[in-house]
Amino acid sequence: MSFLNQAKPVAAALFLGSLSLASLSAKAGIYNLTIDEVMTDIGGELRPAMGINGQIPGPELRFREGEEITLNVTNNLEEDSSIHWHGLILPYQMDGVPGISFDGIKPGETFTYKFTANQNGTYWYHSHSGLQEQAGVYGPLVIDAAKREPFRVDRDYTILLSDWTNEDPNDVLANLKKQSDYYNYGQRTVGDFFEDVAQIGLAETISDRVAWGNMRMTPTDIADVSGYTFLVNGRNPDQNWTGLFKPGERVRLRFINGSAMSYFDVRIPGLEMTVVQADGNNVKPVKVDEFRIAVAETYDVIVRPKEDTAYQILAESIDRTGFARATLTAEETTATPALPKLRERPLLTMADMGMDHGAMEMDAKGETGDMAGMDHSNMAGMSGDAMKSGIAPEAANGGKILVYGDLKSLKAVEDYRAPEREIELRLTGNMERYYWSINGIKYSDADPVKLAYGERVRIKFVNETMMSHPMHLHGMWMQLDTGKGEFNPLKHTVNVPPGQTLTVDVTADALGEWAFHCHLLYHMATGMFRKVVVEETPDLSSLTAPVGE
Amino acid sequence: MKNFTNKTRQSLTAIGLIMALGLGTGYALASPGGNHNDAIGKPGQEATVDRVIEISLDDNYFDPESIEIRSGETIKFILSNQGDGLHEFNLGTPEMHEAHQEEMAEMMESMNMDGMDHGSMMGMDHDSMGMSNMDKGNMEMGGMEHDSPNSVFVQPGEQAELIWTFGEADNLEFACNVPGHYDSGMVGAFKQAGPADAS
Repeated sequence: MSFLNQAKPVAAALFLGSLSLASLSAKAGIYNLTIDEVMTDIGGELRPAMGINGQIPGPELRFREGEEITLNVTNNLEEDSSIHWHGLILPYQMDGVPGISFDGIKPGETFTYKFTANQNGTYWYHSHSGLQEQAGVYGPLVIDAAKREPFRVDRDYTILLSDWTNEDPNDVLANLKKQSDYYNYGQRTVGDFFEDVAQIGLAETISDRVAWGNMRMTPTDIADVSGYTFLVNGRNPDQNWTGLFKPGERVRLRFINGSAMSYFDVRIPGLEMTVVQADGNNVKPVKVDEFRIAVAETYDVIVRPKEDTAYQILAESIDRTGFARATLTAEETTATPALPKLRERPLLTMADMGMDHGAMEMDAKGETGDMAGMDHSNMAGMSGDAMKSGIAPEAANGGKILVYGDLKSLKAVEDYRAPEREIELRLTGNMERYYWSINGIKYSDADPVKLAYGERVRIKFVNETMMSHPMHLHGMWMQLDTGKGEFNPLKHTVNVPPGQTLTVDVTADALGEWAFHCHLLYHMATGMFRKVVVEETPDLSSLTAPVGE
Repeated sequence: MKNFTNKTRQSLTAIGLIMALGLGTGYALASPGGNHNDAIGKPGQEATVDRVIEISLDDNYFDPESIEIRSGETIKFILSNQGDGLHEFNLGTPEMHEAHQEEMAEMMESMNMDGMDHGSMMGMDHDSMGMSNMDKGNMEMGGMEHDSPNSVFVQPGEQAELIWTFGEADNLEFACNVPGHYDSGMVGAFKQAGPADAS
């Protein structure tokens, strides 16, 4: 049902082509969306779900840069709903976050969003109410550029990655709260313990176990929800979404990670990918064999298949529990490649937690929290395999994997300047009790982050947990510090790996109230969230006070 | 400032390498003897120019992206870099471009740098593009100090010229082989419209 509209990619591509031609002349567009209860068998059994216009994912919204958009969104659910336009710069009242931008959309009501598409690129949209996004309320959003783009392609496909669970998302969260490793099927056993003893020695094994225990986390916590079916454009790996090409053509693939909880390592065996956009913004082209896409990020790549064959687009979940799979197929070929084996599930190590040197930094700051009980002397003896990273991405073919340091804005960012102040946000959580927070404080207990209109602030993320967090700021770009100065890329979502520190600069150029949160759905829902208020003349004392404390 | 100086010199070195590669490839291709070389044509003379075509090089594309040519015709290309980055106008077959790209990518990687850093490029003194001014310390440039008849690099905001007399090849492209540019579509087609005297 939900995938019927995707069954003929050629027709879909042609249809999109004519749509964008039609919108060349259109300066205003009216779009109608409904949020509905639907049934889907995408995970192997017929389950209730939520969709947009009756489908999962929702239809691809295709706007033209400069277009004045009117979107009538009708909520046919029995609960409040909302749609947020992820990555779009627009008036805050149109941002679609209940409790911040507006009151949400009541059952049976229609909310009309009006804004101008002042940007171009690949984005997406999703519910910002409860856990509806996990239930299927998400879709792709593409804004065609008004001017010539800095690349030329023959085909243009959207690859929307997502994770589907047959469980009710509310049950998923309840299970996590009862037992945080409920979905951790890779839980280590007593047998593992003795294997470790044999491999790295008793002392290290024990110190390793003690350290993990003190952090209230376990080394298999790469992802906290498993049992997902991974989808490409709403199709599972067996249904195998397929796009056609003629050998020699340049094909643009717009990757969107619309998952609730899943990161992917993406590769196309046999093809190099040239990354040309990140989060909708042009970057200097960089050729890679593989890239990791965090939840809510987008990457546009160009590939040029030359052979008369079929190429698999493989998005392997980083906990190695499955693939989202699609295929690029030459028009003349009958080749049908099979899914490869999953790579081995990585174990987080203390190195991933920054414990080899990062622990000292944390200790020096005198922080208390989950880490406080750690005995650093135990760590000193760790070496060899025990200290090798379990999550640092490696390309399957041993080639080049994209890292943030590769991302450089194609053009110098106009507003690049030194920040006037720095805000430190420690990403914190208690895995055993399953709540997530910022600076140790849940959203429900926290004051908003206040910014003065026009000011430039540096936000320093310090990830004190052992999970990656894709941090998403609404309404304003984050200029990710990759050491490239004015060419630092603009992003709406930045991935902060476990134990790592990352900085972004933000110009507070959008008055109003905005959401700022971890985009892992269950982390957001349990408190890793802040409201950001941009005011003309904020209370000065609030600007100098530590944020959130 | 020390860093800046180092970076600038690194970039200069990189450009030297790029130039050298361009030259190397170009020279080999333009050298007599190879079967396909007659077909792609040869460097042209100002005196025999039949047509002048202006091409803008931008980030990262050519305008126009397709040019009709005739065998035997001599065209003078006036190349303006309208973008912020270094670009190349290289005339060759897809195979020639591919080989050139691999060389450039390998060289860039071995330098452990991205030579396309705009900031450090912008301030470049073009006189230093001449090989004689380059730091040759780590470069093996022997035999590469030739004119590059089928390739020219153009700095942002600058103009360059290239004159070419076309042969019979019908698969020629003009391409920028700076890493990632060809892949994302910075390439144009020369379309054969037949011999010049047939018109």
